[in-house]
Amino acid sequence: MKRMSTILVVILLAGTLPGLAAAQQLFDFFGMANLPAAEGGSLSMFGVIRDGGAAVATPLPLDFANYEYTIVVEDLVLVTDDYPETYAGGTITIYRDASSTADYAATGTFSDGTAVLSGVVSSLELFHYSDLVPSATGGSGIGTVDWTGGARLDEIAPGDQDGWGFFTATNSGSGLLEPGYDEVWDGKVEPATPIVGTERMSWGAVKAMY
Amino acid sequence: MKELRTTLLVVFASTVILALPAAAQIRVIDYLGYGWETGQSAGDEFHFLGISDLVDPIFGVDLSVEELTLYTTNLVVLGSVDVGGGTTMISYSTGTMEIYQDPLQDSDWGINPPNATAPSTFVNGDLFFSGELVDLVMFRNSDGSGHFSGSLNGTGGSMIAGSCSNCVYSWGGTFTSGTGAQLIEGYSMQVDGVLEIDEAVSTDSAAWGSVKALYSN
Repeated sequence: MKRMSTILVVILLAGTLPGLAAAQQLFDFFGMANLPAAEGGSLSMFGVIRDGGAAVATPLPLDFANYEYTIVVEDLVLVTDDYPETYAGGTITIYRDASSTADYAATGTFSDGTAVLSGVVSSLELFHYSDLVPSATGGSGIGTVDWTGGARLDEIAPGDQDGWGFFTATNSGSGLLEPGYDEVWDGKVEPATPIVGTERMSWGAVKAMY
Repeated sequence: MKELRTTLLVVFASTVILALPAAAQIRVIDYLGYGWETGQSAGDEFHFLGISDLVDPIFGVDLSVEELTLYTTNLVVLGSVDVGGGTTMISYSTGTMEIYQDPLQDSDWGINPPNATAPSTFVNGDLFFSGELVDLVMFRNSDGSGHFSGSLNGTGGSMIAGSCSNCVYSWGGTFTSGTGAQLIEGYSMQVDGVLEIDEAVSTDSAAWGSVKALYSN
């Protein structure tokens, strides 16, 4: 039995242990949104995920050199048309696509390719400051995303898949607004804390941490 | 002689290059960063450090080998107003924004700013843009999130000296504080926004034939 315990210890020593958390991680996006006219209507947003390079790490490693990554929010239902507006029940998907360049005049160019991550926008509040100060064109949004599917969902530990923050600036008066859309959105989707990547680490290195 | 003069005038007029108003063109510098403040009451200060993750190709910045870092400072709260709905509108004094182009790519927020690396590693390199921030207004929600917007008077830097001598600038975005967004110790808000650069007042060169074509339809 003692020999068995020793073998178990050896297996533990040779095992893979998680390393330290990375720096700040988020999906930074820029897109165009259309808002519903009344309660019960749905919101949609089509955007492109920025390559933050060394400056801004994405929660999952993305290959921006060879692929375009787009983000689509759809069917987000306006529950309360008040200040703030409250939404629920929408879907969110991040696509990877090597074959097309996203074009706001053809929303299908945002939702083609492989769904890297998909999930639900379980809640969203939009603050349109023009409701309070008529001259204001800006706004902000804050919501919650739970990832439930996609080709790379399994790269996120189950405990890290829910409760991501969705934060955005909105602007109906921006010169960047594309025809046919109501607002420019500049935002991000991010885990509450950086996802801890799995790194191989020797037992000695683990001990050295303490 | 009269025929020769007429011919020369026509030839000259048909080849002269004229300055035309260019079509409105918005250029973008997208950025992310972190801010810290001493409070939101009159006299309190707001500072921001950021890094660009997208810059319009026209400016010739290659973010794969260099970084573009932002530093805004000297912003002092002038006053705040409760505009309802749990939202406060805060107005700021004139401040400054500087953007640096740096091949060292050494920006480091550190913790508890100002510190040994922030803002120093954000203000090294070559001055890409400097401007006077005016009319900055923040709308702050009760949950700590909100929106800011303002405009800039460009004062210097290689961007102005190069492709943007007559541009108009606006600065805006969202901030999150205490809302679940990732924050670095000692910073009070995460900031995400864009610097919009409007080239509407720049000029293009055009041949006289092109000018006439504008009015022939």
